[in-house]
Amino acid sequence: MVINRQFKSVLFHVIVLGCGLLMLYPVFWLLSASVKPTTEIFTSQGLWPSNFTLDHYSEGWFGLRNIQFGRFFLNSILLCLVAVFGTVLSSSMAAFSFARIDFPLKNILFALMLGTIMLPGHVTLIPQYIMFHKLGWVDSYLPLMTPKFVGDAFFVFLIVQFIRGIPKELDESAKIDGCGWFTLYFRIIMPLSLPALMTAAIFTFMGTWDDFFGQLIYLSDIKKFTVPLGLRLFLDSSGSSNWGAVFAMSVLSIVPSLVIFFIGQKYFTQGIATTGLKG
Amino acid sequence: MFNKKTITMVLLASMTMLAACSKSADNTNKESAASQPAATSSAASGKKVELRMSWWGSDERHERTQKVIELFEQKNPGVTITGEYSGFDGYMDKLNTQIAAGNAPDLIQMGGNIKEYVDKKALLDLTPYVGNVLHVDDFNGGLVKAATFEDKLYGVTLGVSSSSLLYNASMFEKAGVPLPADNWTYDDFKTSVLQIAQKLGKGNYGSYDLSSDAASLASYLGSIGKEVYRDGERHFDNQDLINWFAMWDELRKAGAIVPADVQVANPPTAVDKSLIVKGQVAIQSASASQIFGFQELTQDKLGLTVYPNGPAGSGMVPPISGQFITSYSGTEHPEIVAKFMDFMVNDPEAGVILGSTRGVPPSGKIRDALAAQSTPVDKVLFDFISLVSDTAPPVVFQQFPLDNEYIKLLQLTSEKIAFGAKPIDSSVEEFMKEMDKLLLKAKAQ
Repeated sequence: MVINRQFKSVLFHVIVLGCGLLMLYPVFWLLSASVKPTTEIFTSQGLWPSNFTLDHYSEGWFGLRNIQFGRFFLNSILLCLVAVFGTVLSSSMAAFSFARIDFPLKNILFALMLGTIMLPGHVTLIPQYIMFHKLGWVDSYLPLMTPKFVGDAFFVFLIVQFIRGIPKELDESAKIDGCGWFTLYFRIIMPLSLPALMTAAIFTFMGTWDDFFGQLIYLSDIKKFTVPLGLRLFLDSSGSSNWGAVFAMSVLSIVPSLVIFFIGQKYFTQGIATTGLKG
Repeated sequence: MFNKKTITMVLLASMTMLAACSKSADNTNKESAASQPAATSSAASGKKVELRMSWWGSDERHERTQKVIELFEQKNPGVTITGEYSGFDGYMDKLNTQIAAGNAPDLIQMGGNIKEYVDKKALLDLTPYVGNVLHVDDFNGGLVKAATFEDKLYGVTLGVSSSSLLYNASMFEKAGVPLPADNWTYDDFKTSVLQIAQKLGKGNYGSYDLSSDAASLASYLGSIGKEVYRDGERHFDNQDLINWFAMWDELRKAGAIVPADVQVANPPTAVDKSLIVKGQVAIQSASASQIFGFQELTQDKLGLTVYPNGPAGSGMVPPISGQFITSYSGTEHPEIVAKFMDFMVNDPEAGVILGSTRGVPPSGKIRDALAAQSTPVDKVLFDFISLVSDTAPPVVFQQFPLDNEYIKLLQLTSEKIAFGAKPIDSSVEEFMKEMDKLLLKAKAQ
């Protein structure tokens, strides 16, 4: 009986581990390609490089004229931090008012907001570009940062759903203790919706970090380029591409996303709201 | 929550928003148009001129282009040119957005779709500057024609290329098969391909299946005295096409060319997937200037050759322009833009810096200057372009008007046959029907 159970557990782990490795194969391939000489990347079959080289990393980092790849990382990180701050702040405020405050036309406004989720981005692309061009904001980070400060419909919806799950009794007791709307938002609701906020933050970070098109459209000066744009500098589908450098820099560019995800992961699983109820 | 009223409200609101946006678009265009004359006069008074130039390419092209820009800035004080460069992904999308907003760069690198932008009135007519600022008399007439629409010149060729057969010379040597001669025939081609596949054994092939390749078919038809297209009509019949597919079918059955499933998984058009790089296929069709990209990824020696000759001699299509430099119609400094274009293609110093990053330079003078210091791959490419220029028959090639659809149709027909889904004669019949439909559609446009 015990042996059987152990056997089952071993089998389970072997299968799960096997599937995990299989899914990681592209990542291993990327890692291995980044340390192979260019002529070997597409010709050698094995993952283990027969000639190990770190040239692609220095080539990718220092190889561009007048600029280092590190600059793209700084730009991307700055953009992501502002985007995360803006999205979390504005979306949570909007979500709080939709979930807790009664005001005229609330339902219609909420439906309108949800409607914007369904509007495809391509429809608004050119009008938006024209608007930012008229404001003189093209080739700066403003068109990429400012919209984050007016909320993101999807995250507003996500946080509203979460706040609705927090018992109203908590609000009432806070009010009895003398809390106003802002204190209620900041001291009671926000700490309790931390998992939803973290989810919004992580998604925003990853979305902004990986966004290619928006950054491509609005940024032209290479000094303002972000990581996705920097990576594309090495690639030319119509001619020759510096594959080694692309792979090496791609390896580096997944590091921040990974770090953020692992830091945030524990908040995903923390059920703060239920703890609050028990306390 | 979502009752009918709410939904109507949402729709109404979004429509009003859209309407507002499109209005603002019109305003921007008018405004930028109105601001032009004023800006031009300020440039004429010798003030600082700031231009923007956009191009796509690899990091080598970025570096060389920037060096040329710096050189131009040194020689023309007061002029600064900011480069906006990226890979090809998204390049056209960004450009379209910029043009729609009236914010396109002064200098724009363009590919073969130049006419689309001429029709949109997005490009500057360069005719007033030809002869005084901009010199193109040294170029092959066809290259100038390629960017001329209704007698107006809209672009300057940056480099020429030609369709070609790219071969893996190391595989020929390994199989003990002589390298293709400049005047080889389809019989020579078949023999070489069969021999390579036999001598190198399983998993190795003499050639990709080129029956789906439009450039290969064009040169085959040329070599039997026919043509794909001229003046609104096709100039070949069912039997020609049946012969074409039958030739490839025979080779396929003999195991001499790549089978359909392998070809789909490793398309020759993707440099990183092509089996020529892996040393498993000896011949494929490619644009000649792509040899740089292929050679970089392999230690095997690659070469270029012409398509085989037929009863009517060579059916090669003369070299064509790969890329152009054009200007946005809203530019504030058209004369300096034209001057820079001239600098890119005619200045020997700039020519040497640019090399053949955009194909072989169109000017003979620059080619001579380059030949003196070229790398082995450069030499293969230059020799090939000269060879094609000499052997290509003196006809002006006419491109099929709905080229993309024609290419897709050919590909589909070839795959049907290669996978054995349909016999050759009925596939060809279907192809002809579809092609005639395309011709009618092209006439209607």
